Amino acid sequence: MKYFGEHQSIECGGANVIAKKIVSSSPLNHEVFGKCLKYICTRDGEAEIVKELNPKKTQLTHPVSALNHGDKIVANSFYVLEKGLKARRLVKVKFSGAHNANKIITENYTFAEITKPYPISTKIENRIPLDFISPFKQLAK
Amino acid sequence: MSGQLIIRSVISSSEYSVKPIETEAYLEFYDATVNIIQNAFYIHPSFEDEYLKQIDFNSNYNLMVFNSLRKEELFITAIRNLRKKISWITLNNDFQNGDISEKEFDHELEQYPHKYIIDVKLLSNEADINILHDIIIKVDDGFTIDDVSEVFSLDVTGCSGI
Repeated sequence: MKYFGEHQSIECGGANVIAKKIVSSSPLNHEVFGKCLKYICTRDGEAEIVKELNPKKTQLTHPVSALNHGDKIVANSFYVLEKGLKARRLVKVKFSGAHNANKIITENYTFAEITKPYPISTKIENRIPLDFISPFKQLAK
Repeated sequence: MSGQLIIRSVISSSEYSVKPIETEAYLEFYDATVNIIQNAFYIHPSFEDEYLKQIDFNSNYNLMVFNSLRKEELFITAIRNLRKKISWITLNNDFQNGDISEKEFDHELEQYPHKYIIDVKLLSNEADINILHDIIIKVDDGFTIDDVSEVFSLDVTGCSGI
């Protein structure tokens, strides 16, 4: 299943991460995840679960993330946290037509969360009726 | 007569006999506190009177002092994290150029974790949100959510559950 909304996330034991721009941060000692590296992915991308967690349980206090094999988040920008301090090497792949993109394959516990969704997906998810937006109805009242 | 001198004179007089503060001294002390608050919160002078009339000094003074101290703490963590980031970039650059082997790279991280690894805590105090908002507006450098967690070592993203 695909996820588009803001703050929607995945948790897994391994993932394929593709984005046009991937920048790794300095190592973090997170309160929840422990020692980990953060990858900030921008300019369109996706993160797909390849390996499920064993046992299949969230490590967060706020359990909303997807856990099944094949689940993916698709967004304009998102971030990925991977346990361990070993930086992954970027591999060039083709993504969205003729555009090149970078790819990472994570092998430890990973958590990915959307920070900036596509503008269309937010409208679809919230399902705002067009009557509510149009100013003519408000003027008539 | 500055605020510090008044406080000193009050303390020195209170050693021998307790006296109530005189009206003139009180007014000067009031001006000094106004300066301190202006420096701490950057209040625009045109709003000074309207804003300060609403404040009850006896109840909010401790809160203001706490906020300014917390702000200082955040600035110090930001500078510390900057230094950590620079040292991490140099180490990573050496590793990728081939000046350091993988064993040496791992050994360096295990031996001196305080030099490279940034501690990140979940944002639990609501007062921090206002302080961060103040700082980010003044810096005005297009902060993202990811930047804030690295600079101030506070996680503001959705995994904190707020």
